[in-house]
Amino acid sequence: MKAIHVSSLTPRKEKFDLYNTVLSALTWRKYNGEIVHICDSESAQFYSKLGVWDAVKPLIPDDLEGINPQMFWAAGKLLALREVSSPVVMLDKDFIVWKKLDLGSSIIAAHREDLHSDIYPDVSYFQMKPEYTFNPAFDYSVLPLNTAFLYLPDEDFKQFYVNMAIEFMKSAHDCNDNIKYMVYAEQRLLALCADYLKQPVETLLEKDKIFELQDDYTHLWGEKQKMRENPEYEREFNARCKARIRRDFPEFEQVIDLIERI
Amino acid sequence: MKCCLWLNGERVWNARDIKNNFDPTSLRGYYLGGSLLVWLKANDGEEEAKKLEETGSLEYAFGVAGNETLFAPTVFTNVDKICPTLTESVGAKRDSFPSSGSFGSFGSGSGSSSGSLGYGLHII
Repeated sequence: MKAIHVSSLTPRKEKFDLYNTVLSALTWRKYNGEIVHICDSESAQFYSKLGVWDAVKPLIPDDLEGINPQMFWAAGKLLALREVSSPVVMLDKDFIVWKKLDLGSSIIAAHREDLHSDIYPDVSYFQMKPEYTFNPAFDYSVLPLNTAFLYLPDEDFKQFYVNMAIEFMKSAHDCNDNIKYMVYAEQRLLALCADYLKQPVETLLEKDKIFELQDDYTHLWGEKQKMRENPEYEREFNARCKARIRRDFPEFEQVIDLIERI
Repeated sequence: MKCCLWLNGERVWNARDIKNNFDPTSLRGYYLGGSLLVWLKANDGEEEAKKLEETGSLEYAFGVAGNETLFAPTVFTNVDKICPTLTESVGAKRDSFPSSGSFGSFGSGSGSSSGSLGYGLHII
C-alpha cells in the first residue's frame, strides 16, 4: 500500500524527531510497501539527504496557496493529499506501524476524539469570510477523527474532504488561534464529510484505549515536548532508535551519521 | 481528473449534470479547494470553466438562477485577490511554526489540549 509522509514550512531538525521519522518510513517499507515524502521545496531539499523514502516530491506550493501558516500549520497535509491518488495512507512522521495492515474499502483513522469544546468548539466560534457556509447537511455531533494515521481508499471521497478542508482554511479570517481552526479543518471535517457521504469509517485504536499497552503502533505525540524539556530523556530515546535502526535496517545505518551531523 | 463530484450527497460524473444537482456549498468547496476548474476541464465542462474563470459566478457558469456566489477569478494564481492579508503573512513568518508533520505536538488527542502522552514507545 502506498503511503505518504508530508512536510512543509521550515523542517524541524531535532534528532529525536528525525530518528522517529526514519523509523516510521523504514518500518512502513518493511511491512506495507512504498512510502513517498511529499514536501515543499525547502523540506524536499532537507529530507532528500536522508534517503529513506522511495521518493521525495516537492508537490506542496511554498506559499500554501495563500493559507495562513500560523493558523494552519498542517495545511501541507491537505494540499499533499489533494495531489496524490487514492488508495493512499497518510502517516504522521511520528507515527510508526509495526505490522502488515489489512486495508479494505473503509476509511481508517488512528482513533476518534472526544468533542471537547476547548479543542472542538461549536462552529459559531469560527470567524469566517462572508461567503463561507457551514454545510447545514452535516451532523455536527459526529466525533472527530485523529489523522496521525489516515487511510483513504476512495478518490471521490478524498477529493471532497480535502477540497472542503482547503476551502475552510482559505475562508477563515486571520487570528491567533493555531489549534481549533486547524483541527476543525483536518480532523473534524474528515468525520463530518465521511458521515455526510455515508462512507464507512474504522479506527486503528479505540479512543478510550489508546494508552493501553499494545505492540502495533507507536505515536510519539506529546512525548516530543517532554524530550525538548528533558535532554536525558531525549538521549535515551535516541539511543533506542539508533539501536533499532542498526538491528532492523543495517543497510541504512549511514542515516545515523547523517542525523548526528545535522 | 478521474473522480466524481459529490453534490447534494450524490455522485456527479459529467459537467452537464451539475445544473440538475446544483449544490453551491459543495461547489464553492471544490472551487476554493482547487479542484473544480481542473475537474470541469477534464469532464466536458470547458465552457463552464471558462465562464467561472472569467466571472467568478457559479450561478452564471452553470446557468442557474439565484443569488450569485461570486469569487475573484483565477484563485490559484492570484491568491492576493482572495485574501490579501494572508499572502503577506506567508513566507515572512514561515520559520516560526512547526513543520506540518508535527501535528501531535499540540496534543489534541483525546481532547486534552496539552501534555498528551505518546503511546507504543516501548516497542522501539
